[in-house]
Order: sequence, then C-alpha cells, then structure tokens
Amino acid sequence: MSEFPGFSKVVPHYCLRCQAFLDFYNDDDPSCDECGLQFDPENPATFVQSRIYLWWKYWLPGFFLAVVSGIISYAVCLQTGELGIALFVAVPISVGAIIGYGTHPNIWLSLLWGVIAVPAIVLPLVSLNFAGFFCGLTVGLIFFVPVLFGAIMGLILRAVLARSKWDQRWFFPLVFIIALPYAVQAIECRLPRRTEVGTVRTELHVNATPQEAWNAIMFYEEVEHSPPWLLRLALPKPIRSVGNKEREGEIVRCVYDRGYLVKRISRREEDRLLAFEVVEQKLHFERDVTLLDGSFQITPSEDGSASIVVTTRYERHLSPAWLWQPIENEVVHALHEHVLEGMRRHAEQPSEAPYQPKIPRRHETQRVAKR
Amino acid sequence: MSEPNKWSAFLLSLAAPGAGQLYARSFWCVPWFCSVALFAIIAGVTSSTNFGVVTLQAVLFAVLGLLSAEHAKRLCETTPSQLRRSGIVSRVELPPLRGRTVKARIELDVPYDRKKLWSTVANLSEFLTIDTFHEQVTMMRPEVRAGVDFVLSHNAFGVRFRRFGRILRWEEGRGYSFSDLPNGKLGVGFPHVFFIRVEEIGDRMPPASRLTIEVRGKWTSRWIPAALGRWWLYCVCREHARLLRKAL
Repeated sequence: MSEFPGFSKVVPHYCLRCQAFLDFYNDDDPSCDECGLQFDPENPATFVQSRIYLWWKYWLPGFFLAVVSGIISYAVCLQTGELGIALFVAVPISVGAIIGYGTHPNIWLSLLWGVIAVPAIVLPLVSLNFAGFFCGLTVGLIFFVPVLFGAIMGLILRAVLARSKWDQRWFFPLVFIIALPYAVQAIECRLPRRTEVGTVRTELHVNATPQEAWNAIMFYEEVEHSPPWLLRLALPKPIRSVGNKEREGEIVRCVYDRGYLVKRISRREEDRLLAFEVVEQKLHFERDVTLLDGSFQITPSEDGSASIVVTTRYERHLSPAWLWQPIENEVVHALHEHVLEGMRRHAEQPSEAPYQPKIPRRHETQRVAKR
Repeated sequence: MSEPNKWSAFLLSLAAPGAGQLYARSFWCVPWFCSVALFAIIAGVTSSTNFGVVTLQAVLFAVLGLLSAEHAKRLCETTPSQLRRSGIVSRVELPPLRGRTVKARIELDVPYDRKKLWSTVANLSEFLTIDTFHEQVTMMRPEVRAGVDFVLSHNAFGVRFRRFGRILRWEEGRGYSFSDLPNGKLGVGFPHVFFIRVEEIGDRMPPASRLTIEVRGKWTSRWIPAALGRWWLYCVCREHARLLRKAL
C-alpha cells in the first residue's frame, strides 16, 4: 500500500536474463526488448526488481590474476637468479599485460588497474620480507612505467586477437604472458654475468686547514647529527663504531641495528689520505650491492683551507645499470654529504668564521668487467 | 525447518565424512564418524613418512570422503525411494560421436499406462526438477505450450546459477522438447536440447509405457576435451535415470 494515498510507488522491473528495463505496458506479448525473454507481469518470479550488476566480473579475475602472478613471479625471480631485466622489467610488463588483456577493454580502466596493481604487489612483497621498505618503494616507482606499458601492449594484443578465429585466444596468450618473466629469467641466467663496479666521489671545500680536516675524518657511524630521510629509509641505523684508524691494517667494526660492517685501514698518509677496504658486510642488502672500499682525500687549497674528497667503490648486483645507477648514486652521495657535513662541523668548530653552508661537488664513474 | 540441501550435505561430507549425514539429520553420521576415527587410528599406528604410504592414505581418505558425500546427498533427496517395488527398468545410451556434438539417451520402462506417465511428465515445474542439477523451474507464461520461455534454476555442487529455456515443441500426450541455454553469449556454456517422448510398449498386461529422454548439445568448453565431456554427460544421465526411477 502506498504511503501517500493517490500516489502509487513505481518500482522498476528488470529482465531475469539481461537485466534490461522491462516495459510493463506492452500487453500483447510481454517480453524483454533487449534479449527477448518473456515475463509475466502477474508473476513476480519472472522478473527482478533490482539490477544485479556484476561489474566485478569484468575486472576482478584479470586484476587478481595479475597481482598473484606478479607476487609469485617476483618472489621466484628474486630467489632463483639475477636481479635484473626479468625482475624489474619482465615482471611488471607481464603484470600490465595481464591487466590489459584480461580485464574490460578500456584503456583508462586498464591504466587505473595497473596503477592500483603496483602497490597491491609491492605491499605483500614488503610484508612477506621479500623486499625492505626502501626497496619496496623503489621497486614500486620502477614498476609504474613498465606496468602501464604492459597494459597498453595487452590491450593491443586483445584488440588484434579479437578479430582472429583462434578459439583459444581468450586464455592461451595469458599463459605466455604469465610465463614471460620466467622465460626472461632463464635466458638472463644463461647469459655471461658482468661485474659492474661503481665509483661515487663527493667533494667538499671546508674553511679549515688540512690538519683540522684530517683530524675531523669520521665514518658514517661516528657522525652525530641526524641523517637525512633518504639515508634513514635506505640504510640501517648506525649504532657504534669500534676500532681505530691510526695505523694501516687496523680493523674498524661498525655496528648497525640490522647488521655490521668490518673495514680495514688499507692506506694512511698523514694529513692527505685515509683509505679503507670493506672486509665483511652484513647489512641485509648483500644481494643489491657489495661495498668494496673507500677513501678520504684531503687536498690543500691555495688560501690555506682544504678540500675533502670522499670516495666509495661498490660492486653492483642490480641491473640494468641505467635504471639503478642514478638511485645508487643518489643514496651514496647523500651518505657522503652527511659524513662531510659532520666533518665540516667538526673541522670548523674552533674557528669564529660565520656559518656558510657548502654545496658538495658530485662525481660518479663506473667500470664494467666480465666475470 | 527447511529441508537440507543435497549439495550442502555433499560438500560437508566431502570435507568431513559424516558431517553431511549429521546435516541431513540421519544416524548414518555415527558409522561415518567411526570410520573416520578408525582411519585416523590406523594412519596413526602406521605413522609412516614413506611417500607411497602417505599418498595411499590420502587417496583412501579422498575415496572415503567421496563415498560419504554421495551417501549424504542421497539422504537429502526428497523423493522417497521406490526402487525395489517400482520395477522400472532404465537404460542410458551414449552413441559414439565425433567433434563437439554430444548426445545421450535415457530410456525408462514404467509399469503403467501412457496417460498416467504423461500426467507426470507434462507437469513441467515438477518433472524438470527430477534432475541432477535442476533445482527450480519458473514458467514465464501460465499456460504450457510451444514457444513459452522458462528459467531453469541450477544448483551444481552448491553453486547456484540460472539457465534459460524455451519449449520448442509440444505434442499433447506424446512428448515435447525444450532448450537449456546459458545466460551469456552464444557458443559457450554447453547449450543443449531435451527431447521427451512418451509411448506405450506393445499390448502388455498390465500396461507398460516407455519414457525416452534424449539430450543433444554442443560441448563448448575449450579446457575440457569433448570425450571427457561425453563421459561426464553419461555419468549425469545415469544419475538422472536413478532419480527418475525413484520418482516415477
């Protein structure tokens, strides 16, 4: 019964099969205008009064498959071989292509699902301890472009195959797309591996004599002021440093909240050069880089002040280099700048000169050798 | 209290033998639970880590679960069993075919006349639910004639879905045929047609008649080979014949 006398409540009716709106005023042969299924206006069991829009059918299976495939292929590639093209290019392209091929064919929706798929893959990887927070964040950023590229490729493949008469086209290409990271990994493992050594050098001019600069030399673990956000995210937190740098051959053990680093003083020239080599590294990023050695070089200037050059050499395990080198350079430069700022504060402390922030100069080189 | 659903009982017993019987409110749950306990004791006594023994135990437990599941399903069938006294004889034939065409025929010889058999068979809303998967029939017109659509509500292993059919032919007192099509695009979801025929068998005394149900369709699945599909259809038809023997 209507709430307001004289006004009947109009309830729309929809087809049981296609859920199209039903016209109850067509009395001759009541049937759906869209699919032709009959209905009986007198029998409520022959129609529905609300649409059940199964919109999840259009995207959920493809999206879910992409995320699960992405997590599994990333974990498998990470555990079985190189951290290279398969991991950082083939996996995200495969994820994007599954979304493009397996979800509703709409370019904007596919790109949207691609954008959502990246955190949906990275967060489980971080929580499952396959990647640290910084690595997860970096991988997430790296994944965006290949995922979107893969989504567009998947859409194109779908559009091309839609016109073909290949009756397995709706699932068979998906098998190939899912297998893509594993195939690339297998090829990558068979290729000769190259050892890439990166050298990062940062220079800072300080208002102090070379002697004062020499006395201020310190390692990262000895810097007192708080590190920038990048180092807090990327590196473990330093706790203490044990040992001395007074003689060649001395061992300095640096302790972090998640591991340690053992350095040996390899060369020492008073007021000029302090070089060390890393003899043991256990910092939870052994699969990404191996630290080799480093040095502090002090160069006197003509005005009596000094320039300090900090150098770090490391072996890169992540590839492709064009992708990872800028990120590694940024982190190592941030580390150098943090250490140099600590040294500058220490070296310039006795002088009464007004504080003038210095901008360190950055240098990077890279050497590649076949193993 | 509503009647227990046969597929719920099936799945319950498949997961835990005896649970479906308990759900069906049958004391048969006791022997099934005992058999599971006995199985667990034997497995515990042997407590082997040998791969073959463990595999054998897993297979035996799966068989136990399947048997219990089928038993629980049968306990939930609402039609009382008349198998022993009915004298209905059934045959299921699956002609050898090639390609994606599937065809099966069920013949039931019933010990009463054609009129009585037709009165049962012509009641579509009741008769079409005597099936392995058909749960409910919704006719789109009050009268039953050729050209009338209907909705066949299916329940397969607990998954409910609708399929759509139309009465293609109706010959009063002799038979009819109808389609059973999926809700979706053409070329998927095993579209098939049922041909129902009722006829007398000679001049027997007491009178006897024959119900023939023929299913013709196209196996559309690309994942499962058509040969496997035919075998599946054969199993379903045997189950259908069993349900018809109980119900008629």
